[in-house]
Amino acid sequence: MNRDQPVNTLNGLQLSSIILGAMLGLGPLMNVRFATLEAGRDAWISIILAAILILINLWIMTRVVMIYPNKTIAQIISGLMGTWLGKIGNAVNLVLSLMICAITLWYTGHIFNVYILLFTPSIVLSSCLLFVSVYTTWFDVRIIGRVVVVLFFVSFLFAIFFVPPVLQYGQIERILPIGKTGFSGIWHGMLMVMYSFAGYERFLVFAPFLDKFQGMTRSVLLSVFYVSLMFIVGAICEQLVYPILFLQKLWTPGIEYVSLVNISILERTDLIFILFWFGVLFKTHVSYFYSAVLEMKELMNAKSKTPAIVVSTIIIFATSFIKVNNVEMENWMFWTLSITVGISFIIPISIITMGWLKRKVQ
Amino acid sequence: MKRMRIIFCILLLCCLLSGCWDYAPLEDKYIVTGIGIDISEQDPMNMDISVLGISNIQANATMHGEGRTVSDALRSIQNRIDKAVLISHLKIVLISDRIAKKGIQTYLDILSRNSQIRSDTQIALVHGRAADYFVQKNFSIPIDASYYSDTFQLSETIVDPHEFFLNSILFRLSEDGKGFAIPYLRWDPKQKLLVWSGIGLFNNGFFKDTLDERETVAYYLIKGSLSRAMITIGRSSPQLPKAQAVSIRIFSPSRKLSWSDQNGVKTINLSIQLKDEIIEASPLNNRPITSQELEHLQNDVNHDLTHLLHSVMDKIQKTDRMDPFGFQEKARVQWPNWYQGDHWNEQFSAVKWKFDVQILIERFGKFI
Repeated sequence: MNRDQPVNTLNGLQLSSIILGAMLGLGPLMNVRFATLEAGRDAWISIILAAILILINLWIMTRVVMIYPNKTIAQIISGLMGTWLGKIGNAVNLVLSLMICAITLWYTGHIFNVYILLFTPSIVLSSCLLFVSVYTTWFDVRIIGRVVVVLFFVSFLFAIFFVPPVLQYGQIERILPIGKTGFSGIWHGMLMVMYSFAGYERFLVFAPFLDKFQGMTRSVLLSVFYVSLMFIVGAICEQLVYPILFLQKLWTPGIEYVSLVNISILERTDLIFILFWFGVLFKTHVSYFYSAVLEMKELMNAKSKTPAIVVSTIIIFATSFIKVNNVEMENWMFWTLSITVGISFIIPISIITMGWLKRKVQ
Repeated sequence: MKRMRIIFCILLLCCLLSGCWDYAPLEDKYIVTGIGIDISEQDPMNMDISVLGISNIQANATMHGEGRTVSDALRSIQNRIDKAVLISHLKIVLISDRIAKKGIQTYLDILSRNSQIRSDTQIALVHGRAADYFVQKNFSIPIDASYYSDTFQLSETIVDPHEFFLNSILFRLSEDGKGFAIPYLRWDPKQKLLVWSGIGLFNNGFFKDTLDERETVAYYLIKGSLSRAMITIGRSSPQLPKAQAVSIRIFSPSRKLSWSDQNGVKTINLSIQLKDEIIEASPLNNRPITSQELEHLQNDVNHDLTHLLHSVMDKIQKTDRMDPFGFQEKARVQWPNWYQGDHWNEQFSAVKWKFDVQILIERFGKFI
């Protein structure tokens, strides 16, 4: 059975959930810290600006999908740039997808090792996540969509965890006076925090699987708006609660923040949050893994996904043996996601420009 | 393909079979519920860590370990027993006043870095050796860590418990000023009970001064984290010819801070409005208190409380020269040109305070 047939389609909610899941990956665990390093007390303004830029870029992406319907991003790039340049472009995309997959695996293993399963080797934890991703990818995009929708609704419940610490420790003075960092600081903060929005560019990968394009722009923009709102509210909450110097030194402010929630019926809120985060990381991992498989398939000129899945799995699994410490891991993550977001701005604008030039020449 | 799916499903279920992998029976754990930090008696360069914990052998087993750092000492405890020391259920950390004078930031730091330790672990200062507190016996035998942590909840003065949490203290240490207060506990050997004898004031992690029980009420009134307390004026004793005493219970007050700057004199006005209940007023002479007497009582309590607030603020500002309240963030916003982050403690001591206390005794109240 050929799994690339239109039977494997996504509806609007499933596509939105995939984008949302891919965005809610590693970024929100520490985006506030990076923004605070540059923008200080105005970090939340940087996050708002970043969200606006991302939404504009996503709108441009929806235009690309409307111009080239039912074509994957790899096919669009190959079509516009020619065989060899297209292959190079797809290879860059593939490398980035594989790297994000690998980093998500390292981080999952590491976070679980630190907080919950002290004695379980991180390779075991990473393999679990990889196994689930491979399994889901095997059954194609429709299954990914269904699984991710469930996690999408669960993520609503966790927004409630951001309220109690603000009530207990929040001080409005921690974000006042507004705008004191100046435009330069806010701009640098915005560039620093832009990486945390990585994942929205998966839209270009999954959009060709949409069953109907009607109302696509609205639903996709709304889902990214929802995530952006979560990031901004999260950032403001964390800034209200933590002293600025404390915030800049935390490893994962997101997890530290949730550990402040003291609800008597929940013994360890942070552990429950980390278990929830396993689902979030799975969502990120599976969407990037699926992208990597599609790009690999395009590069290999294969008819079936199977060899692409096998090769991708082997590469990602092999990276799990690389020993990296916290600082290295964070640097890898920061640069990879930053480059991904940077490219996500270049690709849609280039496609539209090149398409327009091509039409003009013709 | 169908067979493949079934095999995948079965393999997926294997991920849930975690029970037999790194299985660790509870009997093999030593669950630490309290930690005491002292200077070692043998070697003053070392510290002595005592832990109160639960194991399958003894309900409340105390262990000691010495080392140059907290980690060293904890490791020496681990090496001494054949059980895995589990620190994730830590409830309270007792720090001896002797070691607190040399600074507690290092010890709190190591606790905060341990991902197993909860952020709501309570920190308290103790008079004398912390290790002695874990071996005391009283009527509620056996004493466990809850006995110490519940002391704050069961006492007459109840404040927001977040005040004493590890994370709250770490927040204060990373702000300008770096002042904070934690409960000061004392063991009364005659009565065999634990007494919350006020609070210990810390500046930059160093133990500086103490406030007694009455002063503690005033401190938390100024800070705004008081939930309930009792204020007593006078003495009720059968030996006195005319006993005059009044005890009122105050609940979380409505308070308003206003900041003013008149000719360079920075002033903070704190107005507190309390609606309270009388717990005890003597002598009653078997008759109800008249409205005139009630008014007198109100005035007396008002005067006494205002005086208390001034004396506590004088002590903190003039003698200790620190800001344990954490007003620096507000001051930064209110007086941005005047505020100097690094010198906030000196600046705070120059701030003038005005207190406006209005107590309204509404009811005779009921004892709970």
